[in-house]
Amino acid sequence: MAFDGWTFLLQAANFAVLVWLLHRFLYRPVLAIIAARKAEIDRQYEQSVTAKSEAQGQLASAAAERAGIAAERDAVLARAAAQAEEAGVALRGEAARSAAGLLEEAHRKIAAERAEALTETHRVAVELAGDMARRLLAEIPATLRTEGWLEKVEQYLAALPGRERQGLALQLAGGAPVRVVSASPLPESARELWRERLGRALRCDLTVELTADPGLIAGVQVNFPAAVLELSWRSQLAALRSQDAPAGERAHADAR
Amino acid sequence: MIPSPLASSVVFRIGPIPIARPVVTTWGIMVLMALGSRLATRRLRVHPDLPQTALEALILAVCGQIEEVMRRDCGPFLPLLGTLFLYLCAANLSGVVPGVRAPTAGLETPAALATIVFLAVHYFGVRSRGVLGYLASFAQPKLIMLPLNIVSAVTRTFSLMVRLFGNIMSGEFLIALVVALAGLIVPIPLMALEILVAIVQAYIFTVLAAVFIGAAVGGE
Repeated sequence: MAFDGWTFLLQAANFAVLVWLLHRFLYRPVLAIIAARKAEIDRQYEQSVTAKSEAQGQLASAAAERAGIAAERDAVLARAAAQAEEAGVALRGEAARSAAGLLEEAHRKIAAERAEALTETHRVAVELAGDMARRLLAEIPATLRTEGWLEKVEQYLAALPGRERQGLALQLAGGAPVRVVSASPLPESARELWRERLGRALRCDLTVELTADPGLIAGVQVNFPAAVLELSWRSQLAALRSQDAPAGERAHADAR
Repeated sequence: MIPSPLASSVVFRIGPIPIARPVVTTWGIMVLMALGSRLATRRLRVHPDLPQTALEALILAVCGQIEEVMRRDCGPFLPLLGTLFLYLCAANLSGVVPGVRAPTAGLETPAALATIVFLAVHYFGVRSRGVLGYLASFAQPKLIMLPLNIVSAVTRTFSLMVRLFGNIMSGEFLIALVVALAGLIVPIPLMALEILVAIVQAYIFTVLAAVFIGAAVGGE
């Protein structure tokens, strides 16, 4: 078996040259491009990490802004709620004051109307009473109706001081008549009766004129030339009305 | 006198130096590989096309295999071990080409490669551990192992050479015998088997070289 030393040495040298050639033209370029790609990938990764961190920062800032917006919204809502509460309280107070004013006005109106109604009712009642009395008195003969009043006139004149009674007599001294007004017409016979009894009460001679006024309801009105003596239900009802008027005003004051 | 079939015929001479056929074949392989590498790496881009992707995958596969065996970065060892694998693949497969005899079918080429591996083991071992540290590694794990380790360093190199030479030479002889006895078509399955054997032997040679260098370098 032959072994060629030259071939051995040449093959060893050939392999060494081939190692250099492949290192020069194959391994180094390929490894370099792989390293470049890895560097590119690393660079892109760094960029992506940077972009990610920036995005996270922007996200955090956006979240902070959102939280700020939410806080501002809450503050605005709280402010609006406080203002609404304040306005509500003011409106409620205004409404309460208005309602109190309206209630007071209504009470005042009601009291006024009640007082007016009371006065009107009283007036109507007085008129009704007068009307009823007039109708009932119409059933009684006129002489009987006036006889009681004649006695009252006599008593009144008798109760007068003497000087006043003399004054009345003096008014009749010139022949002036005493005009007697009754609620219903009196018969002619009643004239003599009135002349006699008034003359006796005044202690003088006199003349009497008889006239009728249904407005008196009952009673008489004795008209002297300078004085009038009225003793009738009309005057008494008028006195009652004047007494009741303050009563109506008192009712109005109580209602308030 | 019948010439030895194992002897390499001299093609031409350069002065006193005889240039045998394995050398010429190797030169041809070198030219093809160098030109192919130059062409393949002429326009490399960061965004690769399909051929560049295949080339990078091949280099990364070799690199990954080296790292897997040696448990180290493949950078310092890639030129030697990668070239060893690529050249052995090309040299072993060249025997399939009609009229070409594989350089590794002769004794000189496997001997040259085994010798280079032998020297590379010591080179990387000394570079990694220092002279004394590397020499001390022969006495590990016990001093009594020193002669055995020294003999082992020689015999494993010899086994590398003989394994490669025997497999490739026997394959070629087998194919030649079948061609001589049975004609042209019959050896085709044997040639396919020879392709497989060629690649497997290249892989075995390279992996064993990586194991030897890795053992000399030591674990990180």
